[in-house]
Amino acid sequence: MTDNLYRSVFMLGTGVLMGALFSFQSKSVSEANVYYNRESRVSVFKEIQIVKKGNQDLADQVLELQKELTDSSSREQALENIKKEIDKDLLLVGQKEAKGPGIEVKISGDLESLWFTDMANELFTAGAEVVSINGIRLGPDNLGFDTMPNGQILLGGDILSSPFTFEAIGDQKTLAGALKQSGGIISRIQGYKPDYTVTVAEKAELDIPAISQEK
Amino acid sequence: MNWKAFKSINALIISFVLAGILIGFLVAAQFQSSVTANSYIVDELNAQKDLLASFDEDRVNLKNTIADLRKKIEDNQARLKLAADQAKLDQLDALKEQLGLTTMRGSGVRILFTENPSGKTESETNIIHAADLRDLVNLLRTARVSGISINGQRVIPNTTINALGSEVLVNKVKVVAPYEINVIGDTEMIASRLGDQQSYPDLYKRIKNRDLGFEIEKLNQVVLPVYDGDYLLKYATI
Repeated sequence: MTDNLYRSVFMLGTGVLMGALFSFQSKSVSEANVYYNRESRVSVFKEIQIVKKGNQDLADQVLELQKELTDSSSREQALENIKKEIDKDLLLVGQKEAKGPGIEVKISGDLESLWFTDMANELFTAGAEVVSINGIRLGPDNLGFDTMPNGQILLGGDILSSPFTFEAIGDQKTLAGALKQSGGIISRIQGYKPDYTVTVAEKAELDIPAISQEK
Repeated sequence: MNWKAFKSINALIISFVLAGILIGFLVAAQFQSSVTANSYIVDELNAQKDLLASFDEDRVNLKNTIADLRKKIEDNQARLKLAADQAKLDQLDALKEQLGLTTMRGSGVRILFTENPSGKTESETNIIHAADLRDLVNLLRTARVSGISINGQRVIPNTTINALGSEVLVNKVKVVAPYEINVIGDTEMIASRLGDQQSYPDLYKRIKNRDLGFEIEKLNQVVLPVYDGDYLLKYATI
């Protein structure tokens, strides 16, 4: 009788221990999926390159501004620079159509808003200068991805429906490489939605329209 | 030993062996989890920190130079104000404001976003990830806010928020928790969007569980700093 009692208690203890371990492992894996899948699991050296490139861009900006400052001492040149700066800023805020080389990413099915946020983030991180989704240009007043009650995505008053086409102007190889790298956003989307088709095409010339002024 | 006792002992042994195998499998799986730190990851993080530290100083100097040059160019433009087309200068100022190239002042909110306010054991749920900040910025953008800054980094249209190992980079600049997020915009609209629990249910759950701290304060005057990074166009043309 006592042996049976000890045996039962021992077996129960083993069961509890196994249950606890199983639960711990399951929680750990599920947390890893939720939080880690949002970030590119690229090598640390690749990430360092991103920061290094950020500093290089700052250095290039310094050179550009130094030239602008030198030119601004001459009145005529300064007026010309103001006109150039206005054109550049109009392009940056999306009020002028933009042309240039880049990439086109097509995704076949529906996606939650977080994937749009992450894709735009990845594209800008890889140096995209202008980005549009289904022909809708991202800009200061056109940035928040809202989810409507029926699951559709709203971007600055426009509804985005699948299939989704992202266009990004920038260095084609860098942009495509960043998205397609192992652990990059394409592999994360395909891991999340294995039945979706995602294609990335390098384009010699993209033509991204200005943001509609009617909003 | 009778047959009944023999069967009972065998059943017990088999049960223990199976239980041992299962426990062994689970323990091994736990140690193989990618979340677990190991020496390789620690080495990688150390190498990363060393390299980043060397870039930090350069970045600060470059950003100071950019701010100084922009100021000098603005001063030159101001001196030409009488001769220049005033409408053009006004247009330029308005564009700079949209791009975060001017200090912005206005009413709005200050959000204090903190990690692990209850002092629980550190876990993935009570750390603020780069994705959490991206989601929050996206939510604020749907409230059509005029401007946002995170720990002094002005959020512009092309702002990137990334994880770099255990750290977060905003505009490629390292920021650490707690995060002070200043927002200029319609406070009612902001409060309404932030209160929408359907937008990011996981984030709300973590805030509700006190894994993350989230305090909002309405302010009559919020000041957002100038964006001090680059705005290069190397590929895009009109």
